[in-house]
Amino acid sequence: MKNVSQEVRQELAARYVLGIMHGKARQRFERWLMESFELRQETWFWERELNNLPPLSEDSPPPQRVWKKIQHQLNGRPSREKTWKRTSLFGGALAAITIFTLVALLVLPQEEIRIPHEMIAVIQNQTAQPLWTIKFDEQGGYLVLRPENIKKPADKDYELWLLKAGTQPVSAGVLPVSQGEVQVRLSPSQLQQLMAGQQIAVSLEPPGGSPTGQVTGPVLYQSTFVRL
Amino acid sequence: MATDLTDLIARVAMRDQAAFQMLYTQTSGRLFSICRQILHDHHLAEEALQEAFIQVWHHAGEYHCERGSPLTWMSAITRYRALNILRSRNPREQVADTVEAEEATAADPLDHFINGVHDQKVHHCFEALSQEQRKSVLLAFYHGYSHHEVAARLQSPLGTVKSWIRRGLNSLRRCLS
Repeated sequence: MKNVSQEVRQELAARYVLGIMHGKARQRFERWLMESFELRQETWFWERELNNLPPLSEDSPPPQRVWKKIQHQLNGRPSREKTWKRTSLFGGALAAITIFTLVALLVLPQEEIRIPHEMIAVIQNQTAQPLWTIKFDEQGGYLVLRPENIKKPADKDYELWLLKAGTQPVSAGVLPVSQGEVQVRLSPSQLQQLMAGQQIAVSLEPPGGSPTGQVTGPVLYQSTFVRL
Repeated sequence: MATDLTDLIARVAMRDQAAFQMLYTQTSGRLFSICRQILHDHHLAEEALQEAFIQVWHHAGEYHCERGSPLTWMSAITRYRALNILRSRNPREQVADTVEAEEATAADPLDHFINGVHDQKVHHCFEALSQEQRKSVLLAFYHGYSHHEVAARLQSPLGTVKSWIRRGLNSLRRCLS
């Protein structure tokens, strides 16, 4: 795809967005999308222009069962979105585990804290290129933040947030953008948020991070921890 | 509305379920009509809409303004889901179903498409296309027709239709940029 002319890129992106590129050609194009920023921009151009055309018919409200199915599907993933109208039994169990974790963290001496699994999350851009790798260290209860392919934005910083459905995001600090890893030791409340939510997001904030302790800039990326 | 939807998507990216439900309430009618235009089957259209919103939930954090307005971005996601479902069906069945369904329609709204385009530049660029080029591109866009289906619908040779679409897209690219 490296030596393809602009005209070819334009034509391929148009065919892809219009939907007249099928089968293997479509799959091949999606792989090229990951490699080429120019191709992504060309694709976005057609997506913007075509999908902004006026609707051909009136809006058509879907039956209520569609929303129920969406909720059901999101509920059916035990590692994500844990509070999607869970039964009180599950909610109770989750709360019990959280309280147990919190009590364990507060009561036990630091060196005895054992979190049973190592977890890792990769923060990717729109085309699945890794920007940071975030590792949760099982021994010490700290995060290892490693920048992969990210430049410092002008007059801004990237801030990492720990997410748990139904609660306010908890900051885990400003993300590094230069070479090398940074370790962040987590407080008990940060640990609780991370263990219960297992999700993270990155927002663009003023230098040094959010002045309010809550997200103030646009949310750029999100990711989920995977247990190793 | 655009600002509100941007705000909702930002909140969805932070796993805000109430925002997700509001986003669904505000956009599902428009997106469902896109699914129905492409799939001509209520059950499959519901499936496409469901898949589209699941994708929006998981990828809300990837939205940015280069993808267009939030509704434009969500429309693109929805069209791709509907097209995937359409293409996974038996191709022969597809042509028969969609083309027959369209032929049964007395008035074709695509013939009056240009009147509904209020953006002056877009209006000008589509008006500059030949009637055949415009109709071919719009059949592919709004109904998800393949080259073969457009050829069947317009009762024209496949090669001619391919050329109409290619030239139509080239001309739009030059005019819109």
